[in-house]
Amino acid sequence: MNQVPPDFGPSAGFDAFVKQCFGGLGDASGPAAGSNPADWKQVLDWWAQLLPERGPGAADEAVRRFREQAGGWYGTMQDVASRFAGRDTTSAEVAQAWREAVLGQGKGEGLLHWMLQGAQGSTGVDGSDALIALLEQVQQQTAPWLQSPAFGPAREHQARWQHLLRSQQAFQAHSKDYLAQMREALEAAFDLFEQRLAEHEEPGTQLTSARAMFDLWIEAAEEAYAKVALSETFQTVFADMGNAQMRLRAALQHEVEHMSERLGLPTRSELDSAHRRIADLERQLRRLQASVAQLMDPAPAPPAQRARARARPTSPARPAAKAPAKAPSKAPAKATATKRAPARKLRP
Amino acid sequence: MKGPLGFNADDLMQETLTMQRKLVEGLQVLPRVEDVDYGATDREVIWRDGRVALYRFIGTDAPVRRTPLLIVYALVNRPYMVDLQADRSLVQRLLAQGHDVYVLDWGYPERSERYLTLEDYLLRYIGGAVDHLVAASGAPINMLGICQGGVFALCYAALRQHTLANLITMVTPVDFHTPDNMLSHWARQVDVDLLVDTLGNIPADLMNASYLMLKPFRLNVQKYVGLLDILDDRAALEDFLRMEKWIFDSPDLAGEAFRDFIKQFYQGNGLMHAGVRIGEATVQLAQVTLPVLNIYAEQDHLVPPDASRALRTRIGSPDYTESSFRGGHIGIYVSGRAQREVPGTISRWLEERST
Repeated sequence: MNQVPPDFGPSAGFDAFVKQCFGGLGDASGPAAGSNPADWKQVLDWWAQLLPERGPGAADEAVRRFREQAGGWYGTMQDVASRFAGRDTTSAEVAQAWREAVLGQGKGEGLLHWMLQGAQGSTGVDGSDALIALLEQVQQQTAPWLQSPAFGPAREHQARWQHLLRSQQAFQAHSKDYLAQMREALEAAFDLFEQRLAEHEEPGTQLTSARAMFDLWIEAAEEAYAKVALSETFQTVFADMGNAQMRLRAALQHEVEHMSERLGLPTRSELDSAHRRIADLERQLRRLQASVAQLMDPAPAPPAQRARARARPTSPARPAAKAPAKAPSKAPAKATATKRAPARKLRP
Repeated sequence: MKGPLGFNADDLMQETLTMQRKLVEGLQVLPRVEDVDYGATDREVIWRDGRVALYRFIGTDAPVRRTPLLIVYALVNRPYMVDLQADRSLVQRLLAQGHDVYVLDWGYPERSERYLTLEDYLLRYIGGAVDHLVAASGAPINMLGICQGGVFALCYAALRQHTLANLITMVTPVDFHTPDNMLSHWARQVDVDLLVDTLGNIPADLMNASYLMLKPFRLNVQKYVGLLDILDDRAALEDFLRMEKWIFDSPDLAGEAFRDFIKQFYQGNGLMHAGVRIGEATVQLAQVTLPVLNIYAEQDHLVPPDASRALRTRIGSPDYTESSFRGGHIGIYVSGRAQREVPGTISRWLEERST
C-alpha cells in the first residue's frame, strides 16, 4: 500500500494535492514540490489515491498501468535527465547513466521477468503459480530420488512424479535461456540508445525534454528487441520454452486427472471425448445435408447468370431504395488509390 | 550546451509542472469517465448457428445497393472494431454510401467448442450465413474479409465461389513467411499439437500476451505513459478506454481450428505453396477467379505489407486490385484517415463492378 500524506484527507485531498504540486510556483528559491524527478513517483502514488475507487474496470486498469509505467520508467528517465540538465555532456555519459539507473534500481531484472511472463502468457504455469513453487521445493528436496530407478508396487506413481519433476526442471532451464535472450536484447538496447543519442548532438537536433529522451529510449529498445526476436536462436529458444511449459502443464493435468479418477470424479478427458463426438456428428450431419442439397440442385448457376436470372432484387429484410443521383463519397487520397495488379497471374 | 540534451533545469521544471497540471485535471476528469460502451449502429440478428450470429446493420436510410456486403472478421478479437463508435465506424460509412452491411459474430467459444475445425468455421458458419443471404437476396453477395477473416474469405471463395459476386480482403496475410513477420517467426517451431492437446481452447490471455510481446516497450510502457497527454480530455480518454476494451476483449480460440490454422498457414504457409486442406477439399488461391480488392496497411506490424501483397502472385482472378493504406493494423479501422479513405475505396470498387 502507498503512504498517504498526512494532510491529504478525503475532503481536502484535491486541494492538498494541488498545493503539493504547485506550492513552489513563483517561489524563486526552488522548484515546486514534485518537480524533483525523484518525487515524481510519490506524486503519482498520491494522485492515484485521490481517485475514487470504482472496482475493476478498463479505467482503473489503465490508471494502474499508467501509474506503474509513468511512475517507474518515466520517473527514472526524469531523474537521469535532471542530472544532465543545463550542462555539457556526451551521449556515452547519458546512456551510461540510464543503464545504471535501470540496472541499479532492479528495473533490469524486473523488466526481464515481466518479459518472461509475457512470453509465457497466462496459462497458469508461470513462476508465481503456487503449485509450481511447491514443485520447485519438492524438486530441491528430492534431487537424489529423481535419479533413482522406480520399482516396487508404487513404481508407476514414482515414474509419473519423476516425469513431472523433470518437466519442471526442463521448464526452468528453458526459461533461463529465454531470459538470456532478453538480457541480450536489453544490452543491445542500451548500446543503441547511445547511438541514437549521438544522432542528436548537433545543435538544432538536441532533445528538448525528458519525454523526448524517454521516447528515444523506447524506440531504441524496440529496435534492439526486434532484432533479437527475429533471430533464428530466439525462434528456437521461444519454442523450446513454450513446449517445455506445455509438457509441464500436461504432466500436472495428468496428475489431477489421476487423482480425480481415484475419487470417482469425471475428468477433463472424458468431457473432451464427449465434445469431440458431438462435433464429429454435427460435421457429418452438415456434410450429409450439403450432399442432399447438391443432389436436389446439382449445378448451381454461375454468378453472372444468377444475377441476370434473378427477379427484382431485394435486400433480405427491407426493399432496396433508389440509388442517389450523386455518389456521396469524395475522391480517394493518393495513398489509397487503387491500381491494377501486375500482369503476372495464375489461371485456375 | 554540448551533447544530445538541449534542456536546462527550468525546462525540466516546466515539463514537470505541465504534467502535474494534467494530473490535477485528470483528478477531475477521470471520475467522470463512465464505463465505455461500443457499437454505434443498431443491428439485428437475422441468422444464428450455435454461438455464431449474423447481424444486419440498420442505417438511418434503407440501403440503395442491392448486393449484401458481409463482413467476416478474425477469430482473435471481437468484430465490433468495425463499428467502434460513431466517428470511428467503417460500418456507418458503408451504410451512408448505401450498402446493405452484415457482420458475422463468432461469439466466445466455450470449452465444448474445442473440436470446431476450420472446415466448421468456413463451411458451416460462413457457408451458413452466406447461404442465408444468397437465399434472401436471390443473388451472390459481396464479402469483406478482415485480417484472419480475410484468409477465411479467400478459402471460402475458393470453395464456394458461385455464392460470391466480389471479394474484398483487408490486412489479410497470404504469405506467412515474410522475413518481417515476427508472429509467424515465433510460431514456426512451436509444437502446436502439444499446445492444443494440453490447453484445449487457446486462452485469450495467451494470445494477447503474444501480441503485446511483438512490441513490448511501446504497447506495455509508452502507451500508458502517453495517457498523461490526454488526462484532461474526457473524450480522448474515453476513446483510449474503448480501444483498450476492444484490445483485451478477446475470445478464447477453438483448439482444433487453431491447430489447423497454425500448422497450415503459419508453419506450412499453405496459401503460397501446395494449398490448404479444408475438410475434404484442397484450397488454392488460383481457384479464386472472382473480382478481388486487396487493401493492406503500409505500417502493419501484425500483417506486414508483403504478406498481403503476395496475394497478387497467387490469385486466379483476372480482376485483381490492390490498395495501400497509410497506417497500421488498427488504424485502418479507426483512424480519421481510414474513415475518409477506406469505405470510399471499397464503395467505388464495388460500384465499378455492380451489374
